[in-house]
Amino acid sequence: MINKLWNLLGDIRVSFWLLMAGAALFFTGMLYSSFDYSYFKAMNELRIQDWLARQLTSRPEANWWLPLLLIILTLLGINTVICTINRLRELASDTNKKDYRFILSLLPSIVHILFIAVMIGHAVTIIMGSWTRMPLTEGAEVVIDSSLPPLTVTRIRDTYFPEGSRLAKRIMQTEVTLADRDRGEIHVSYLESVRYHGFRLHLDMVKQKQGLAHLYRHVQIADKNETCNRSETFRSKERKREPAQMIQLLVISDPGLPVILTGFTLILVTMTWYFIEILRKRNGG
Amino acid sequence: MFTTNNHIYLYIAGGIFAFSSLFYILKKKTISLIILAAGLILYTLYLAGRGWIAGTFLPNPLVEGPFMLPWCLAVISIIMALRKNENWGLILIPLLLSVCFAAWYAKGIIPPTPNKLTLWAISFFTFELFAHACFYCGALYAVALLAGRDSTDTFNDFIIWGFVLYSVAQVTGAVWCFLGWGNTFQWGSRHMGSTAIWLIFAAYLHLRFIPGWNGRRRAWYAIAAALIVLAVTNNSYLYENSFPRIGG
Repeated sequence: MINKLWNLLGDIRVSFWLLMAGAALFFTGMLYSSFDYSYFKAMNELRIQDWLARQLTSRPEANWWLPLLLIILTLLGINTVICTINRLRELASDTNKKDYRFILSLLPSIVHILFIAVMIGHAVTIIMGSWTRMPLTEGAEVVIDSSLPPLTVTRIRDTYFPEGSRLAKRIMQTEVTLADRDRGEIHVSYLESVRYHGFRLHLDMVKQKQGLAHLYRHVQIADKNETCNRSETFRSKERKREPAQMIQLLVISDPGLPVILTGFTLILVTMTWYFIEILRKRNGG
Repeated sequence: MFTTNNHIYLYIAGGIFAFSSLFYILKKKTISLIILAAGLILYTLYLAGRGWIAGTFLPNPLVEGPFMLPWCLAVISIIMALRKNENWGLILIPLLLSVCFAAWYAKGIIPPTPNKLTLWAISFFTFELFAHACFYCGALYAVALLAGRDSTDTFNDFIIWGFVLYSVAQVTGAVWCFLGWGNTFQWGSRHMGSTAIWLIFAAYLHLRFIPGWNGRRRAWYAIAAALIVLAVTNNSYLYENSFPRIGG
């Protein structure tokens, strides 16, 4: 019985159909989110179990594909583990283990192991991650975590695109200076988040009318007309920030991130090495 | 730059590509290749000119999908010609179609937000567009195989390289997304569509180990997969075409 189940779950045809089912469900999710951008955007800053607990019952018609996707991805993970173990067992029986070809034959299995690691990393992120937004104003204090002393916002400085250009009235960069009693000053800018006691401090800007919705996405969905194009958020009438432009600090705890990034990088290196060797071998190299 | 907001260069480059195709049809392949190279130089100048649309240089408009895809296809077709591939002229078909699309598409730029001003974004779009170009070329060579015009499995190489490049794009995109938005993956249409496409091509790589999936059946699969890429990306381009733009 166990052998039968093992063989069934480790069948490459099952891999194929699980990959196709995963693709179909991601396409379904793509369609739903393209019709309701602001609703699904809220999901990015909530743990999956919190989202499902609230939304699966209140809006099952928009979320039915999500539990199915999680099941398929779990099965794909199991299938990948079994296939990899089976293949490594076969390779272990190979007598010529010092051969370069043997090392090459290990590479697809290594890619699969790394793929499992990346999937686990994503699972850890969506189950254990946390995302908290707090508005930033000069002189105010922000509490990153109850166990840490508050940080004071000492300076918010915007840089605009060069004068004379068509983007002159748009913000190109913002630097927020936070004062910490122990570490001195902390500088946070767009694209330049900083590590702080295990958290990532990340900068974002939203329109004030959407500000509260962004802060409390779990209970209030932002503007229905919100789209992925946020270029107008960073435009001012003059070259200075307007009251409607609300700067927020996004405090992130993402325990899956190191696994995801390391796994991705190693997959790329291994996969490129493998395919280059395959093509070289076929071209008579 | 002299080609900035001067779309005549785009139209002339398109015309040159059409001439190149004509000579290829007339079996004057060397002349066709020389003309194609001239068209590519002109198109590169037009593309470079897009960098100054805002009055200050930005690399983002250079890698906007509808405008960079023809460039990727032209580069690939020249590489194939130089590698002595018999059917390199096939790539002129999507090249001409994509130039027509670029000529029709809104030429201005969507003003970039601060989290788009990074080399991670530029590398993401570059790798993704080269991957798309490989998928389309793979589908064309698959059609040639089914029509008995190509006996090799060139289409398979294109799909494999497309998959490698697409994977690189997913990684650079994940890093960019984390730096810009705080997640490596977002539950949005762009990310879910990309993941679905990646899974479809990952499934393709497994087909050669499944009994019954010979070259011809895999060719059909490659065509269908490329059509899905075409539908998903063009849907996204058409949506972005409605965003307010500057210049162009």
